[in-house]
Amino acid sequence: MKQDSKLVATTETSESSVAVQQTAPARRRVLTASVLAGATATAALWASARRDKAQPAATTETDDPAGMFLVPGSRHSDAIPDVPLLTQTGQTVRLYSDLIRDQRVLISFMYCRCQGICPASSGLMQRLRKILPQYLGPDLRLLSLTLDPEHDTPRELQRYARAFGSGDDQTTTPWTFLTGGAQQIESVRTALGYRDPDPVIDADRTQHAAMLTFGNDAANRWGTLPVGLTELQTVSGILRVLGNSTAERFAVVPRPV
Amino acid sequence: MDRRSFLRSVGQVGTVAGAAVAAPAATQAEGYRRCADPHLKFVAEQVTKWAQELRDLNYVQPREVRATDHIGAVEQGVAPEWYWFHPDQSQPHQHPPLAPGAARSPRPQHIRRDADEQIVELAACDFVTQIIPGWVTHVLGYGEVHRSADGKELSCQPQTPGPAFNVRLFHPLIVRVHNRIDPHLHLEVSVHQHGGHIPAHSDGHPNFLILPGERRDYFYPNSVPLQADLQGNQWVPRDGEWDTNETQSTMWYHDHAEDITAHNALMGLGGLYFLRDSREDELRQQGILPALDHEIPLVLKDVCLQPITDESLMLCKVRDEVEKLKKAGESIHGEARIHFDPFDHNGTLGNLVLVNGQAYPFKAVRPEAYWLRLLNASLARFYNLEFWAVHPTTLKHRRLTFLRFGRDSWMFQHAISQTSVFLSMANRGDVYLDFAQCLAEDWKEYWQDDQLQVLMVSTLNQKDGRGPGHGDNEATATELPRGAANELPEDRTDSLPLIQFRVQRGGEVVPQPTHMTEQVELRPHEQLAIPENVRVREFNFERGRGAWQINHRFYDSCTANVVHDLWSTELWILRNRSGGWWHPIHIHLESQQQIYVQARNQRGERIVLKRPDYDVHRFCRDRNIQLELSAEEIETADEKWKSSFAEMQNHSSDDPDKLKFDQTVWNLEIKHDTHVLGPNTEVHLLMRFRTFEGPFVFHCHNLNHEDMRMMYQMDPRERTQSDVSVADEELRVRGSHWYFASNAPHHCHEEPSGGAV
Ligand SMILES: [Cu+2]
Repeated sequence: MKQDSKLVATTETSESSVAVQQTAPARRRVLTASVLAGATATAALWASARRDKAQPAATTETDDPAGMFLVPGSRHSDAIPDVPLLTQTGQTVRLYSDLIRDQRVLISFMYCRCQGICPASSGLMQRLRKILPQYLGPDLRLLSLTLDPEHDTPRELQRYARAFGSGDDQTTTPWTFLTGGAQQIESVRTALGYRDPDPVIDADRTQHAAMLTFGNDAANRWGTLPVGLTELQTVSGILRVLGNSTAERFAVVPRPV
Repeated sequence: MDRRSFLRSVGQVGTVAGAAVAAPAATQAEGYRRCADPHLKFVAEQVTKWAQELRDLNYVQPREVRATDHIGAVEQGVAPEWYWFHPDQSQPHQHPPLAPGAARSPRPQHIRRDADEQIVELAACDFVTQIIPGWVTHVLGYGEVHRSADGKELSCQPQTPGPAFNVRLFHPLIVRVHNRIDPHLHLEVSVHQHGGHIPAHSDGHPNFLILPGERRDYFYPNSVPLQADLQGNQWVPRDGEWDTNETQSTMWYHDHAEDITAHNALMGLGGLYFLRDSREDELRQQGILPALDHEIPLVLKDVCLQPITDESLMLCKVRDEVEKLKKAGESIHGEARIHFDPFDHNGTLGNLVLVNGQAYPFKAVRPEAYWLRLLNASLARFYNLEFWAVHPTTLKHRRLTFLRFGRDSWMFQHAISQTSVFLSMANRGDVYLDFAQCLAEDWKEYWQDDQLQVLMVSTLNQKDGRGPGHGDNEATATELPRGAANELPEDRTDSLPLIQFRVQRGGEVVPQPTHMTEQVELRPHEQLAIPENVRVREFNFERGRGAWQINHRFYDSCTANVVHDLWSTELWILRNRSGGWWHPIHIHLESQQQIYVQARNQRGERIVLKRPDYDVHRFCRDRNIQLELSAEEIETADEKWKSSFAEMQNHSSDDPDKLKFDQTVWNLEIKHDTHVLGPNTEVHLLMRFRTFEGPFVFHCHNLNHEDMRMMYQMDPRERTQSDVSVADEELRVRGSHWYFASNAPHHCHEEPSGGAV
């Protein structure tokens, strides 16, 4: 991106300077340089040759993606309860502090005995686990929470995980299956919006396994999409939220040449 | 709270804002936060009511286009239609050649222009402001960019709602929009001009994004379509016959970016857009419409404000502002942060309704007639608005009557006398409110010292994103909400006062000769004929997969769900089959006319509206279309509806509190662009698809539902040999030139790597 900066300077000078004036606070830890990078990144893309999509995504614009907008209490993930849960290997983890904080995550709900939509959701997670690292790198975590914690013990979840290709090697793009107390699971489910104002529908667990939630906690961006979109729609919608740069966020949508 | 204390609380002028707000920051263990949670609730009593005067709207100031503007030479280009006016390509930056199969229309003769185009520059920005005096809020908004003659930027003051437009029919406009929102927020924008007749490139399509730092040149022709006829099986436009009955009046613009529309609109990206023409001038000259200085635009939007008094928890931009203001000696209490929950897909409700971005403003008026231009800009809240004169001592209230003369973008042929305005999201209401009615002898007791207090109140009970009618009484879930009970029940706490009108009589009286009546013709309206062999399409709006679907499908930016012939007329059937959910359905591009409606009124009675020339039962039977009601049920319901209408119309001035509700919610004699689909409601409508090739969208205007992909694409195309055979199928959207300003391949023609779905 650096070699494009001259082009940027010639085409976008007035725009960039306006953006900097508006966005750079005098004494915050956000560096003026990173704001500049953000403001000019799209212009740089505009000027640069089209990237080969098969290559890994371009460098991130900033290692402080949310910049001055992240202060204590301002994260959308504050709504996610930091409850203790059990993984498929029987490990006790804290949902937020161990698995979500500052990470990029995909979250789905499932349960092992589910005959309806869950296989589709879990199958989609399985495919996304392969596809997304091509654009985002391996820095990504998948979480699947059971809606049937009484039945779904860690052992059951382990069996289910293997059926969806999530073996014991969890070193890159880990996929963690989670069970726990019914109350804890309920609190996560409602916090993430897998709920219906009609109590009858809300009590029916088959209604809650058909969405996918994805978050980039460091950038404070979250999104949810229904399962069942085409892969292009799903991938482009997720990248827009999880990507840390314009290049990552629009990796499957060609930018101007 | 009983009625008396409710009125006392809304009538008071004197509590001090923001004395103390105990608001611990949310902790991890709390889980889902509702707006009503104590730590989010901006305690209503702490906001002084009727202390701020309603600010006048700012209007954009279009200027002539200069060579240095380089129209189209921005990241997202300009609509190809704009170039039809510039065949010499005199602009230094040429438009890329059209790709094969790309949109071809319109011909230049399909847009009328009576003046050279002008330009307005808007910047979408994030900035800090005080919604509640003493509290600093970080918002999004639009600012107009002002430039010197040599193109140097002079100023840009962002505001929310954004500056209003005041444009003339047949005067085209370029609106250059900059996305200057802080790049750390990674927010794309797309500006939809709601209610207009706009080329696809400039319609604010959810995927035609302006990325941070980018610009787009929107082309608003401000034209109306040509009339068209069916010749053989071809629809042919009539040269030079402009369908001026379609002239819009009260429109608006707002963000429409895919998946983040709810967020962007909630944070403040919206504004008003007024189109004016010679007919409106005439009506004003004849004294039928109030003078321009008697127009009161009112944009309603509810927000939930989270009070933060600990500086270490404030957004940095807010903290800077707070420190600056405190140093300047101002009394600042802290940050009021707009609460947005990305995990709420049911419908975002706030607990504070803002009027033009202000909380509880007042407006000084004379006992004269005013044009109230109402807009519901909320994400999920419905309003039933009434105007109450409040007795100065007993606090008894009495409803004012008014003439309703417009819905959505269009003025009616004849105004309708009403006492309430029901607005679903995106609905607009044009109201002729004459405060002079309160000068009559029987209003005497409401005056005190030549002053009269009139409150605009919403009487609707809405507890969640499903829509009104839910909450305490499930039985009302399928009914139109009760808008006008004679007396407020003692336990009723759901009436929201929104703005106070202070009517002042006496002094020097300037006679206002305005006299709109129900008899005077405002703007001609032509009922659309049902073409023989009309194409019928059915759309079922349903709950599915924990979200909302249309015909069991979700929005797919690459799929043209409806492909039809340009210039044709079609009959669409919209059905809400999602239990208790309300879905206001907005269809872009043109007005629609309802010809059959099946719904329930506020008494829970089934109501049926049916145009006499539409034998709905036979029509549907012949086409194997399912209809819920039998022919008999349709007839009897129709009669019942007519009689309850007649009853409502028989109100007299001594009985103004008679149970009535907004007769324009469903109405066969007016134009619509956003159809109120209450629970189990069915609407049959006629619509034309003229002038512009697609893609356009139609969608639920509960913006959370829209973001969860309750949206379809429609793509009118000029009929050619190659299109004929596939014209009814779902197709991939075409072309690339309107997507980005380059010839880059359209992403819909490629699959991401990693295998098929
Ligand atoms: Cu909806």
